[in-house]
Amino acid sequence: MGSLVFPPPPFRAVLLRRAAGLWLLLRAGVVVVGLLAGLAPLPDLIVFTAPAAGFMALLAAWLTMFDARRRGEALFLADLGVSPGVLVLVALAPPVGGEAIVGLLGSL
Amino acid sequence: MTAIFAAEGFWKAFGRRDVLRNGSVWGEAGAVTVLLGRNGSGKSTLFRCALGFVRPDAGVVLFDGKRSVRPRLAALAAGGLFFLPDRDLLADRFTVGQHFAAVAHRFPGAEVAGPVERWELGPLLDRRPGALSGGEQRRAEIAVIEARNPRVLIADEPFRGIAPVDADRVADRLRALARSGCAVVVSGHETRILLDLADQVVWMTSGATHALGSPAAARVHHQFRREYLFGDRG
Repeated sequence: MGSLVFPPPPFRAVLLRRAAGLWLLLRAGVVVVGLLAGLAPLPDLIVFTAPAAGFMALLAAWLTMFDARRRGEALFLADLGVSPGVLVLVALAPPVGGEAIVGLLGSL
Repeated sequence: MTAIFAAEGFWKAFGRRDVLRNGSVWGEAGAVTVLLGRNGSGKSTLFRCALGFVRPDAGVVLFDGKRSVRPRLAALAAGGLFFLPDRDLLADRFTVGQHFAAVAHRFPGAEVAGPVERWELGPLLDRRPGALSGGEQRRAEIAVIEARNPRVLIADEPFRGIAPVDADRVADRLRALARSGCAVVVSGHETRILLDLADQVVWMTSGATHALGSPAAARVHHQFRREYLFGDRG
């Protein structure tokens, strides 16, 4: 197989923005629901354990992929040789980065 | 001629219903293969299995001499195959022009200006596909394919839902693509236009395919005439 083929710039930018937005929405949802239900104090609702952070990143990436398929973007990109695996990598980048930053700030 | 793309021996059942029963189709460089069949005969499922959207129960894809039992569109596309679905190739989040730019970015040698001019798409480049009519969308899709200039084109019902004048233009361009060396595989049930377009005909009925040969041979094939062309199943 050849090298990894990434989505062309506008498609890549939209996927990254969408993944970041979905991750932020998920994170905000956890905080709001957690506070309203009194599940945990605010710091625990922001700084996750590594498995929980990984789960959030995967969930955000999965939702991004689902949305890309629903909108027909994944099919067009496949016709350009962009594999679903590469789309997952792109969709994972913002949430993984976000979780890393949150984890880093939480450890200070 | 030798097939550069072949989907051979595909079987697929959904629950107890056999949708594909030894379905095969192939594309030869410089020729148009037409896959004819009624709605629900399994044409789209055969394409979807051969391109990796649906996991088949059995079947193999041969492309460029390589054999794959788990084909993936992205891998096939990297080798020069292009798939035109029966609807919505272009994503509505992006303008028509952005789709052409994506093709040009991915394939630096892609010639965009010619197809855009040929299909009179200049005024539509800033519009999103969802804002176009069905005929305009199909014109834009064919132009994107021409910009990509694939070695193999698989088109699932490209004539569905478009006006006869647009259908004739699409047929002309598919023929031109084949003349340029592309292996064109087209499905549908618009008999007149498809038989005029075809170099070879494959008939699909009840999930099984039958190679009928040239359009002239297909037109005199007794079972094909009786069950498909004239709709007499008795």
